[in-house]
Amino acid sequence: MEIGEPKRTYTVEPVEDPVPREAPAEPAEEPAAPAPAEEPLEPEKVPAP
Amino acid sequence: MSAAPDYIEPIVGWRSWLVVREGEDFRLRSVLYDALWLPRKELIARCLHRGLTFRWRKRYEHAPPEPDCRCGIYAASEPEEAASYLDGRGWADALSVHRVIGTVSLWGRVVECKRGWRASHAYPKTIYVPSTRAPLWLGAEWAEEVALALTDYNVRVELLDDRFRGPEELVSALDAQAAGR
Repeated sequence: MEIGEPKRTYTVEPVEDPVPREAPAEPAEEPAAPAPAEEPLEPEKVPAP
Repeated sequence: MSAAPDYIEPIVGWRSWLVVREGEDFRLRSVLYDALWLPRKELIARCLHRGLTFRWRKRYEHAPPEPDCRCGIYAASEPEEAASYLDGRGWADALSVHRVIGTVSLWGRVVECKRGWRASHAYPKTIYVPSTRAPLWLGAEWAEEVALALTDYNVRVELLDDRFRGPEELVSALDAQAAGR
């Protein structure tokens, strides 16, 4: 490409990223920890009189 | 501590690209050099000229672009210069399915020239897909397919209708579009 002779040099640091990057994947929701299974209530053993 | 930048907005210039097939996808490729532009990733310049120097000369290592070299990612300040590459024919056309034109964001280290820029970093900003560009066998349906595939770059992609057959007509259409915004 014919763009002619150099005139000056500078630095450009865009505030906004010019690259539409992939949005970071949202962390997969962790499955809720299963509630501790309740132990079936057993009738309290009462010592025989 | 790094020095403060001179500008905080990217420079926007014009350039043309080849469109090549990469597996199932269409990708942009530089017209003159073997540089593939990947979606969602900036192209970073490397100096390809140092390899062309004579062996007995000391290699001139530098970070591109260097004013005294010809390296860097090129863009023109006016669409006419970029459009002149829409009509070219070269060895790379065997690889390409289309040529497109558009605007490109430039940043990093930038060498401003009389009619454009050379930069260290670049990414397409807008892609215009002519519907009836060579290769001659490329029909409008293909151009639509190419335009759709180039949306991978996640920038504005526009299909230009077949009224714009030559670079001059194309440039006036682009000028009219720019004026309308």
